[in-house]
Amino acid sequence: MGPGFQLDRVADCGAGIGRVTRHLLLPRSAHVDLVEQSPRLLNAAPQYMASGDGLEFNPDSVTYLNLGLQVCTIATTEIDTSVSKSY
Amino acid sequence: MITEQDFSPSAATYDLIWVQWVIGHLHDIDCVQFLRRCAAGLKPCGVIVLKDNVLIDEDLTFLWDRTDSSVARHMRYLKLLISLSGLQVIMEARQQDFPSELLPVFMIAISVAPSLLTDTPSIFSSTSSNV
Repeated sequence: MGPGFQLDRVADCGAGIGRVTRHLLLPRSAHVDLVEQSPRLLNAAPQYMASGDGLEFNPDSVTYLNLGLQVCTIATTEIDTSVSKSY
Repeated sequence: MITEQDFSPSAATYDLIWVQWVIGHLHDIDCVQFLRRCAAGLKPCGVIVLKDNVLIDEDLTFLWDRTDSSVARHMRYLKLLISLSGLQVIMEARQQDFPSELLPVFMIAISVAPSLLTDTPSIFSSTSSNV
């Protein structure tokens, strides 16, 4: 995936505020869908994406999707860590 | 902005789906279902890249991090889930230049395994679409 390698559409799952999209994916793809379950992070993404550090940014080249990834189940489950021993 | 749904891309939508530090928050069956939905959203020759903490040396199957409620699975464990998802590993690379006190981070490129596509256990099937 070097320079000049161009994709049409990419999804960034767990996009956060868009670091991976901005620096890795968008330079290589015409469009990126940012998929993030946290509204707080996703709401901060447009400003981060547009912040100036020399990278060109077309707002129409990204779509922000506040969707779950079935994340959080582990956070609400009690696990006995003793079962993590090799078996 | 779409809210309160799970990511379930339409068929043949993406060239690449980048999944960074996500599956460590998913139970096994949710991980497999998630990867299967991603696989359905790939264009022909599309690729999913998992970037996550992966155990390689430790004598552990997985490591639970209570501070951020995630698990790091052993590489063999992770590849089993990838296989159960009807996917195959086509390339893997360890992230370089990370602090040595952190868990190993790997990028694993996976694609649809043709032989497994036609034999999907119903328990892993999903139906809805929202992209």
